Parts: sequence; structure tokens; C-alpha cells
Amino acid sequence: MIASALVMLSVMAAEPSLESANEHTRKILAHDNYGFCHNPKYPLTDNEAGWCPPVGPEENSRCPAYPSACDAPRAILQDLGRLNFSRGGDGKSDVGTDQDPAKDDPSKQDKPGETKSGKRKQPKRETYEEPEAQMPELGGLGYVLFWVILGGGVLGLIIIITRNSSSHKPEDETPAEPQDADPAALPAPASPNEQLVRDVSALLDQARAAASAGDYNRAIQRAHAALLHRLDHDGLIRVAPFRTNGDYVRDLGPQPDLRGSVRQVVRDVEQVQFGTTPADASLYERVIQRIVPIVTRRGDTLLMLLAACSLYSCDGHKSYPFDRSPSGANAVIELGAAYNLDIKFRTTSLTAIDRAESLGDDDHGRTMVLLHDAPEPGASEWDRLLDWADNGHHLVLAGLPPPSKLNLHIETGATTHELLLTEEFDLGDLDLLTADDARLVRSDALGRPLLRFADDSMYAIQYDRGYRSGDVTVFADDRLFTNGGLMLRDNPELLVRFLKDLGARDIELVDGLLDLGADTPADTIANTHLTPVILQILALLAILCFWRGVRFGRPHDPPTRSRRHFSEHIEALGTHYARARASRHAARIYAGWALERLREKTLSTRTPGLYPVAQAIAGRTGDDENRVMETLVEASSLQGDGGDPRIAYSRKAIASANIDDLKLMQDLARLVRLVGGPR
Amino acid sequence: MTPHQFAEICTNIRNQVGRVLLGQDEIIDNVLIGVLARGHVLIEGVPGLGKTLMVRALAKVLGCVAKRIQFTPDLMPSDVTGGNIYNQQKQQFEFMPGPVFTQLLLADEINRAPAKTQAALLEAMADRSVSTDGVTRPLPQPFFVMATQNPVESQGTYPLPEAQLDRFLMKLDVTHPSRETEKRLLANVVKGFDAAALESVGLEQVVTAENLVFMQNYLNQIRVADDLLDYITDIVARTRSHRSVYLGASPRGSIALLATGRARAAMEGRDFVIPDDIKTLAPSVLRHRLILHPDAEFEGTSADDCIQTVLSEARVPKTAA
Repeated sequence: MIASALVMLSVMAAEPSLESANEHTRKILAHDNYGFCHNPKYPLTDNEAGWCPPVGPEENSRCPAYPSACDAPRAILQDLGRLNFSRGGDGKSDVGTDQDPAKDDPSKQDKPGETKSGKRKQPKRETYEEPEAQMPELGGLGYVLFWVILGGGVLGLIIIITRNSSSHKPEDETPAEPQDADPAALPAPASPNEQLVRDVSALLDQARAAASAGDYNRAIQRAHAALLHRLDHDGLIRVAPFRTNGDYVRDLGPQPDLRGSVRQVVRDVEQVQFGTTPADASLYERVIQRIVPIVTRRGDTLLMLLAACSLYSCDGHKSYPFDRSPSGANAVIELGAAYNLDIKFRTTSLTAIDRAESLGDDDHGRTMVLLHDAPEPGASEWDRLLDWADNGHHLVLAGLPPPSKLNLHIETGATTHELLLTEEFDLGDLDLLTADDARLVRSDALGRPLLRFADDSMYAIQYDRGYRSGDVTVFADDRLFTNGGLMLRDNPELLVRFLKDLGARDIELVDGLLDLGADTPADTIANTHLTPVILQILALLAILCFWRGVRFGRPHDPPTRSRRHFSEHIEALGTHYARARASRHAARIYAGWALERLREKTLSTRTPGLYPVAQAIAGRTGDDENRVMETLVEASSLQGDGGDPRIAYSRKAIASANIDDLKLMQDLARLVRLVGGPR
Repeated sequence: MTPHQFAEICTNIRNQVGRVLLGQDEIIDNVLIGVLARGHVLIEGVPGLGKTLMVRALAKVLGCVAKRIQFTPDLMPSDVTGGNIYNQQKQQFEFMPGPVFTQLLLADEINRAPAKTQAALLEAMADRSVSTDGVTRPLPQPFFVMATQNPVESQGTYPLPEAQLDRFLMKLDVTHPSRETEKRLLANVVKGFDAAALESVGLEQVVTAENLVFMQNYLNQIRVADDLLDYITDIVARTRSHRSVYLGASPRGSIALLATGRARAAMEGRDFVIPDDIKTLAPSVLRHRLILHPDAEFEGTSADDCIQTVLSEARVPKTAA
């Protein structure tokens, strides 16, 4: 309890006072992200320019650049396509269905010369036109290159597919043998030289053809090959000439069911191949019945692709291009966050609202703000929304035409932008301004007026709903819930006080983008106009799948790692010595090593001198003692010879010395080998 | 006897030996293959992995007599084969048979004895007989030698000569058991298992020595396709032409590969050999028969590497690839 109380206190301490909401808003709008406050040439839309009259020409403390932006050229939104209707756009008549709900509801019929909301609908009702796909300006050479590359690609694909399919032609076109053909006259079984066929369907066709011809031996082998290549294409095994059936079965270790099936097939096949069991129709039937369910799983890949596309299209991420413009609501969300109000845009359809949704742990329910361009609910959705509010939640209609049950409608005609708080909505002495002339007109006395214009026309009315403190609040427009609304006077404080007064911490904003979400993955694809592209990609994948199997690349063995032979290293080293004309140096090193080896191999004790060594070598090998001694002395004399042959001798002398050195090394190597080798 | 009965007996043997030797199923299989193929097995592994236990358990399960010789540097050939001793009562020499006169012989740390003593086993292993003082005495049937050597301690050892190595049908490498296996082993010890008192385990004798000889003879009925003879020949020939191999496997290696392949086929209930039998057993059968070039050894190449290269180049008969 103490801990939770401390947390509550700390939260309360972190939350700024309501009176400082205006100052807090100034800090928020001071960020560069809000370009309309800092860029004098910020392109405002016509709708956003509605703030210009109340802002006036004098400098605004929160948005210093806004008066200048009012004089800048307006934004052109025609390239924004379907998003044109939204906050920067002109009205909700472009949203969703083309059918105007007011046409069906006589109570909503506007007076001549007025729209049902009295604003933003009348002047510019533009329909979105599908832009035609156009080739970029490439120039003459670019066009030629483009078509050459495109044509070449298509031609190459056709050639590859044709070549691949023609590789099976000789076997495929072999006329079927008659059923009662003489087995002796049947084609010979597959030989090692037979052309390798990897296509599973071709192998199965061959198996069936061989079976129908009575050659069950070949039929079983072809069916077995089809099974292995199917598994190879699926990446489950790796077929290679050096791999055995046992290797393939072991590859399937992680899949015990498949492994068991393949093992049974392999046993039957090996009985025919290496055992004494003759291949007959019953064995073939048994094998083929086990193989066919495994190899006919081609559709799985396409299904997985479709599933992946569906999953991608169901991604709930919502992007919002205008959230930091004057008609956006990002500053509202930031301001709410500072006052522990969790404001976010709703991402699920209004049809998903639960009438009996619980009020949550704090018993304050939730607040839902339907902005001006929110999708207009149908009759059943209105009922659901009102029931939801009856249950203790808070529904705010900001500029959205209210349901007929409220006996209220919106029209234009307010003569001032100045707003006043009513006695019913005693939030202090606030100075408020809005931008439009939309006002509320009610046909009964129900509801509590909250805000009115200075000319006494109504701007906001609240209706209490149900016994659980639920309510519906209707605003004539949604200006107070936008970034632009926060620019002026005490509007930020009013917004925070109003939302706080409702009591709910979780607040959802519903805007026009909510209805843009597709109901099905197919709608998503259709909305993005990617259907032709996706169909082409799927067709290409299908072709590749049928051509190559799941693994599109050509299967091949991994390159074997080769290592240099030790003698190659020695040859390279010798070449370096030869280029450096260092034969004497090499001979001196080798002679030192060879003398050591010879002494070790022939003498058990450390006897000084070369003669005992020569005597022992001659005794062991049968060589002439004097000749051995001569070689040893020559090797020993090299040890003291430190001269550089390139300096000490002429070119001819060097060539002669090279030959002598090589001969000496060969003699020493022979002696070393004769006395037992280098080890 | 049908292949299935043969396989069933082998499974029983494996299960019985596996009761006391945990986590060494592959070694048990290979040793059994060696026994059935009338061969001898050289096991390389550090002490304490249960080699002696396996021989004793195998002897018990196969109904054979087992003996053990601990090879030491001062072991004499007569200590292995036995020799003539003068009997003063009878006033004549009498032959006292050595430990080699048994059915299952464990030659422990065979590389500790000098070559002369190792050679005493040559005739016994190859001809299954022992000749002393001009008299040749046959060894009991079946006769199976399981020799061990320690790969770690090379000080004071006498590496087996190539002729001796070639007498072994297979060379097996025993490694330490896994953690789980070792824990199970300890749990058995906690429950009272004592390797020295094998009788307390209650191992059942599955076959008799006569049955075992019959099973050995049965392997002659296992069919070997002509393609497989080509496959064996190809593998062995490739060991001789491998660039890292100084001396490849001998024809005895080919015969060993064939015999072990047959034994494996029978153990799996088949009456025919398949390429997988040959390929699976090739490393065990060939690794001790290859002599590598010094430069290959210098580069760290092992006989197993060469065999794997050979197996990855030899085309398997009747493959679908």
C-alpha cells in the first residue's frame, strides 16, 4: 500500500499543473518537427489555412511562423492520391463509399446551399483519379536498352525452359511398349551412362511407363530416384553419386515419420538391387504407394507463399503522413502524455467495439474521439457505440454528424470564432478560439451545453448516458483536437481539462485512415494496386518451382578443399634459392644437416672426426670407403665457406659451382637414405 | 537359420553386453562384427573405457573362454604362446600352453611389448595355431583377439609393425562416453554394480561356442552382388592412388571389407550386402592399413581423412544420383 501510494505521489508530482498546459504546449510546438510553427513558407492546405483569421497577422508566441505561412503558397495535394481526403484534404466526401448517408436519411438532408456539417464539403468535391502508369523519360538510347534487356531476359528464360524440357524428350517420347510385350525385348535397365534425370515428375512417368511395359526392375529404380530427387529438391537430403541409401535415411533423422517411410522404400528397393528378391508387380505397387504421397507435395510451397503474403498484408502498422501538420494530432498526443493521458489512434474497425466492454481497473472506462473525417458509422454501429457509452465509457464526436437519436445536427452560421464556457462546464476563466463557423443546433432541450460561441450559438453539448457515468459529447468540429487548435490562447488547457474531466486515461482517436484498412488480404493487395505484380511474381515462382523444385539453384557438390603437396612447397623454396643463385648456401645447410644425421645413424658414441663415420657408412652400405670419405670431407669443408658466390666468383664459376653443389647434395642424400633415412 | 533369426540373436547379444557397457553401442556392434567375421580387433583408447569389461561380458554372453595378457616390455613370446617345460617325473619335455590358448583373448596394451613378443601373436591370429619347437598346435574355435593400445603414452612403446597391423580385421577408436552415459554409469555403480563381479549382474549366455562357429559359417551364405565387389575394389584401389597415402590397403583389406560387410548385413537381418555396409565399415577396416606420406602427416592429414576422401570419390553402385 505504501509503495503504491508512493508511486501515485511520484506520478502526481511528475504531472504538470493544468494551468501550465499552455506553456507545455509551447515547448512541444517549439520542436523542429512542427514545421508550420517555424517555417514561414510552410505550405498550408486550404483547411489548415482556416486558422489564419483567428491567428491574425501579429506574431504568435507558440507558432511564430504561422502568420507568415498564411501568406505562403498553399499546398498541392493532388499527388497524394487516396490520402488527399484526409487532414490536409478538403472533406470527407471522398472517403470510403461514394454514397452519401444523408441521401438515405431525410433527417440529415441539408438545406439548400449547405452541407450536412455546414463546412468543408461544399467548395471542393474532387474525385480521386487513378494515375496512369507511365514510362519514365529515358531518352532514345534508354528506351532501346530497356527493351533489349527486357526482351533478352524473356528470351533467355524461354530458351532455358525449352532446353530443360527437351532434355527429357527422348525418354518421354519413347512409345509405350504393349502390355503383353516379351520381357526379353524390353529396353535394358538403366545403365550408369544413361542420361541423368532429376525431374521428379519425369522420373515418375518413366517408372509408370516401365511398369506398364513389365520392366518392374527399372520401374522401381526410377520410382526410387524420384523419391530421392524429391527429397533433394526439398532440401531434406543431398543426393550425390558417393552417397548410399543409408546416408539418405540418416539425413532424415529429425523427421522420424518420413524417415520410417523412406527406410521401408529403401529396403524394398535394395532387395531388388542387391538381394535375390525379383521385382514384380506387387513389390512395385508397394513401393509406388509409399513414394507417391511423399513426392506429391509440390503445392505446399505455393500455399506457404500465399500465407506469407497474407501475413504481410495483415500487418497492423499504421503510418500517418500529416500527424505533425496543423491538421494533425501529434502535439495533442504529446500533450496528453504529459498529463498521463494515453492518447493513440484506433487501429481496429468500429464494428469491433464490444457493447459490454468492462470499465477497467480504475472504473473510469475509455474515451473515444471520433474526428471530423472518421468513417461515419452506420445505424447498427451507432447503436453499438451508444450502448458502449451507456456502459460507462465516453464518446466524443468532434465534427462528425451526430446520430439521429441525439436530435442534434451541425450547420454553419456562427458569426465569431470566440468560444465561451457555460455554467455547466465550469473550468475556470479560459480564453478560447476556434477556426470554423460550424455550430450545433438541437431540436430538444436535452444535453448540457459546454461551449458556446460569443453569439450564443452552441459549440459543444454533453449528454449523460446510462447509470454508469457514461456520456456522449458532441463538438461542432474537431479543431480543438488538432495541432493547430493548440496554437491559440487557452485551447490547450481546455483540451486537457476536458479530457481529464471525463476521467478516462485511455483515449482513442478515430480518423479517416481507420476505414482505409482492408478487411481481407485480397483487399489489401487490390488497394495497393499490386495485384498484377504479385500475380506475375507468383507465376514466376510457380514456373521456377515446377522447373527446379523448391531449391531453385542447380544442385552441385561443394567444392573440395585442396591442399598443396608438400613437395610443391619444396619446389617453390628451391626455385627461390635458384633465382637467388644461393646453391652454395643451400648446399652448406643441407651438408650440415646430413653430416649430423649420418653421424647419429652410424655411430652410437660421440666419436670425433669424419673417418669413423666414413668407415661405418662404407661397412654398412658396401661403398668405397675413400669415396665416402671424399664426400664427407667436401661436405664438411662447406661449413667454413661463408663466401657469397655472386661476389667471389665469375658467372661461369657460379654455374660450375651450382652443378658441384647439386651433386654433393645428391651424394649426401643417397648416403642418408642408405643408412636408414632422415628419421 | 534365417536372416531374421540371425539378427535376433545378434540383438540379444548386443543387449546383454550393453547392460554392462553403457554408451558404447557402436563399439559393441563392431566387435561383434569382428567376432562373426572371424577377425581380430585392435582398439585404440585410453585406459578405463571398459575394454576388459567388454571382453569378459562378451565371453560370458557368447559362452566362450576368455583370457587376458597384459603386455609389458619384458614379456617374452613364450609367455604368450607357452613352451616346453621339462617334467622331472616323466623325464621328458611337456608343453605348457600359454594364455593364447583360449577363445577370446584380450591383449592389453599390445604396443608395450617388443616386436618379438608381438610377433608371437602373428601366427596365432593368422593361422589360428601356435608352433613351438617344430610342433604346430591348433587353437580352440572360435578364436578372437581383441588388442588394445593407448594413444596417449608413447614413451616406451613399440609401434605395431605393418605386418602385425594388417592381421587385425578392424581398428576401432574408443572415445570417452557422453555426460549422460557417464551419469548413468555412476548411477549403476551407486546401485551396486561391480565390474569385477560380473556374475552379480546376471548376464545371460545367448549362444554357445558351437553356435557361434555356425553363425560364422552362415556368413558365407550372404549374397554379395557383383557391383559391390566393384565398389570394394574401387575403394581399396583408390587408397593406393591417394596422393597422401604412401602405402594403400592390401588385398587382405578388400577381403576384410567383404567379410565385415557380410557380417553387418546378417546382423541387420539381410541375406545380402548393400553399399551402406561397405561404406560404413570402411574406416574401421582400412584406417590401420594405410601408411601416409611423411609430408601428409606433417600437414596433419590422418588416415581417416584419406578414407573419407576416397569414399567421397567412389561411386556407389546403382545410385540414383
